[in-house]
Amino acid sequence: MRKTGKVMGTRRLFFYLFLGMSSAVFAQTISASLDAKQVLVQESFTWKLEVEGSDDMPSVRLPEIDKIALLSGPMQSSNYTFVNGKTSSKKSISYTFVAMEAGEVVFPAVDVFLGKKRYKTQELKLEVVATRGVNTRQAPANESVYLRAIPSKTSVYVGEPLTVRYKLFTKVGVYNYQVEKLPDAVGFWAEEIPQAAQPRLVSEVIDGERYNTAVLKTVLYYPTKSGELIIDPLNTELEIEVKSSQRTNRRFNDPFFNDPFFTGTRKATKNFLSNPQKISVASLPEPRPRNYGGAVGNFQLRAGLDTNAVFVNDAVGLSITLSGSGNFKSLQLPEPKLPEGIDIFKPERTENISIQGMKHTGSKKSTYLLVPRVPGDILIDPVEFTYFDLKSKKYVTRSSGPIKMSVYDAEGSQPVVTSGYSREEVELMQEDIRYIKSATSRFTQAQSSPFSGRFWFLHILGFIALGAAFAYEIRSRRLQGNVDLRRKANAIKQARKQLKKAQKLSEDSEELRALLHQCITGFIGARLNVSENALDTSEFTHILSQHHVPAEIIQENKTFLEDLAMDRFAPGAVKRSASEWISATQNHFQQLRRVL
Amino acid sequence: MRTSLKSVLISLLMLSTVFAVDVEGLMAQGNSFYEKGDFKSAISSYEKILKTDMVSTALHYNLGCAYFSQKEYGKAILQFEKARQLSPRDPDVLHNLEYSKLFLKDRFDLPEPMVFVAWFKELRQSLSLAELKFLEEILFSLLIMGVIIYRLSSINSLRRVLLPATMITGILFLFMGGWLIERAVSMDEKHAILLVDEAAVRSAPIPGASTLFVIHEGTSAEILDATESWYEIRLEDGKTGWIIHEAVGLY
Repeated sequence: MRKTGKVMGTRRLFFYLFLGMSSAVFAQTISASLDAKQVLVQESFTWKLEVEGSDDMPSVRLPEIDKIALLSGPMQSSNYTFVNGKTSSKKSISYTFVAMEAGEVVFPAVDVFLGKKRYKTQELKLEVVATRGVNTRQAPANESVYLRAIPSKTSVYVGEPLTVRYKLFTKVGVYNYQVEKLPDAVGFWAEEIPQAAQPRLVSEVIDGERYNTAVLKTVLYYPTKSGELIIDPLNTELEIEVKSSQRTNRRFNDPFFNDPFFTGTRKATKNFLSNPQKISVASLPEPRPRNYGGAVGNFQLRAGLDTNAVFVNDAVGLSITLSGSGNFKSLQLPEPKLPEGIDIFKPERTENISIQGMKHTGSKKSTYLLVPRVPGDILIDPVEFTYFDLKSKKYVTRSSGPIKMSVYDAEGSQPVVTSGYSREEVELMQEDIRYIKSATSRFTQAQSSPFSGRFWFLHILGFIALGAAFAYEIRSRRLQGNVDLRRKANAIKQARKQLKKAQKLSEDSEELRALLHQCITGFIGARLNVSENALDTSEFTHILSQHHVPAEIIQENKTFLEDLAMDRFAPGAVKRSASEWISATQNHFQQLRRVL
Repeated sequence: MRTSLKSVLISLLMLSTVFAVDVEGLMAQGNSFYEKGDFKSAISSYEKILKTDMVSTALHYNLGCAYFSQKEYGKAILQFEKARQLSPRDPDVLHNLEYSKLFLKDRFDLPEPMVFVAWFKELRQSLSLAELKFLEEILFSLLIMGVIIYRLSSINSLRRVLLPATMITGILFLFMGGWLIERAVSMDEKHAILLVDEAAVRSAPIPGASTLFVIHEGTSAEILDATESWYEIRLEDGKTGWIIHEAVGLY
């Protein structure tokens, strides 16, 4: 007995050593699987063994198993892949069986030999059902296609997640599986769990009949209030295969000829409605902790500073991280309670939440920027978070513990840039709000319009000036186009010019008298629109009288011109100096100007 | 008759003097409360001045400082914004406005605008209404003079210089005029700042309409439309929705 025990112990030791070595040295995985979980009597199914990472073909011996019989096998297959310079191989052996009688079939764990090493597969179970009378799920009578809502549980706490799978059972072909709208669920917060556009079809036996099943939607519901709540039915239109009314081969009553290939089918759009779900939602136990904010699940809390030693007015980051799983979407992170002398700025919030294992898992983080304004050791109160733990059915409070910070007095410290804030913003944080303005300020009427009287006056004046300038420009252009008119307009100017020129001439200049004569005759000619060069003194008299010039002025003009001509051609005849002539001309010109 | 007219005039004059003293006195009183750290009384003094319909940069600025000290960031930002409208380049106003915005809960990470666009916006914001009006008047006068001299002058060298100068003046005048009109139109308060802790922005101006998003104190938005008790607002990031009148202050 002793000897046997020793031999057994040594063997066992070697065996474990061998198993440990093999698993440590070679990364080989071995798995056994069945292609169905439920079959009908007389239906076939396949048991398959797969080995990854081995060059050797595994060898296996299956024991005798009740209620089934071997149909074919073993079938062997090898598969090599070459990705990124690495070779991987997959080998498999499969056996096909046929179910002989109803009941549960257990495939025991079997030994698998791979080269000289031995492995063990896992145990597998299969259900064999009789063709009639086995009631696995209530199917509506005579329905070839129907929709069912299958909840993960029907009794939950407020805030506890539950999933509802909307499953389609069909005996005919379905062309599209798109569901547009989720059902209404008052009192629930719902989120759809993403899945492939084309659902995977699985074969199942319901009431002894084989259906293809597909999960169209899986929705995660969080109840937000207690009581008996209803999730409305999912209502959707699906395109399915229906038999054509014109059957061509009615006389053959054989399953072979009932195949769609012979019977003829067409597509039809039909509306499907799932069953409503009644969920009883229990309220969370009382008394609730004071700081409880509605979190349900399992959470961990972390809070801490970037650094525990800072200078006065330096920015330091305080991050609060909540991780775990639960009703993340609806919960708020706890806020820190700070002592006097620390300014706190708006937090940068990040979250990384995904749906794993039919619940929301991940983390939420708030990063606050703190700017201590006074030096000294500062103790920030612990950050606390309370949630309802679903496993223990109790409230659990997580605490960060007190957070210590030493603030030193220092001048000219450099700001630290923390994520979420620009350097300018962090620099600004190190300053403070500026003081009020105490100087007397000028008050004005609120809401006074900018369009005051001065504004309108200036603008109207501007436009008037512009208009006047344009009018003047138009007139000048017209004058330029009409020589006579221009001559008339310029007559005064011209006469003055000549007088001015005459004043500059010397006493005995011969030109003086001629210029003065020209001044007067030119003015009369221009104003009366005649050519003065062709006129003598008597003709001037005649023309002036025609224009109703007073007789004494005509006489004066005649005398003046004759005297001037005499002095011009017989110097000394009229005793007048140059300056006297000029003033006489000026006087005469003024007289003529008044009448012409 | 003559005596009664005289007495009316004298009483009017006295009333205006009393009124001026009242505003200055309230301002000094508010400042004194602020200096003592009695911010609530300071706010009440400053608010009394606002009720007289008289405004100044210092009044809005000081009131903003008092609200900030009371941690009422929404009201503080509203007052600093109003002070900025009166004195757009006042460094104290700009500093306190930016500083107060650091305490907001809502942050918008917007893409940086193009340099030219940012520069243009900054220029427009940096001019007060009075300055805009003054510049517009100067440019208008220069433009009119430029056009008149250009049309009437016969000196070619002068005309050559005047043509581009007048054109540039004209373009500047158009900008200033446009900004002036825009500012004058927007004087009837086109921006809203949330004054309460948080408020739901709804999809329609009806109490039961679905909540599109929630905004927090101090967040500012442009007003697009208004009904009797709702404003349609657009946030900096472009989101739009309806909010009730009571939740916001306008500037």
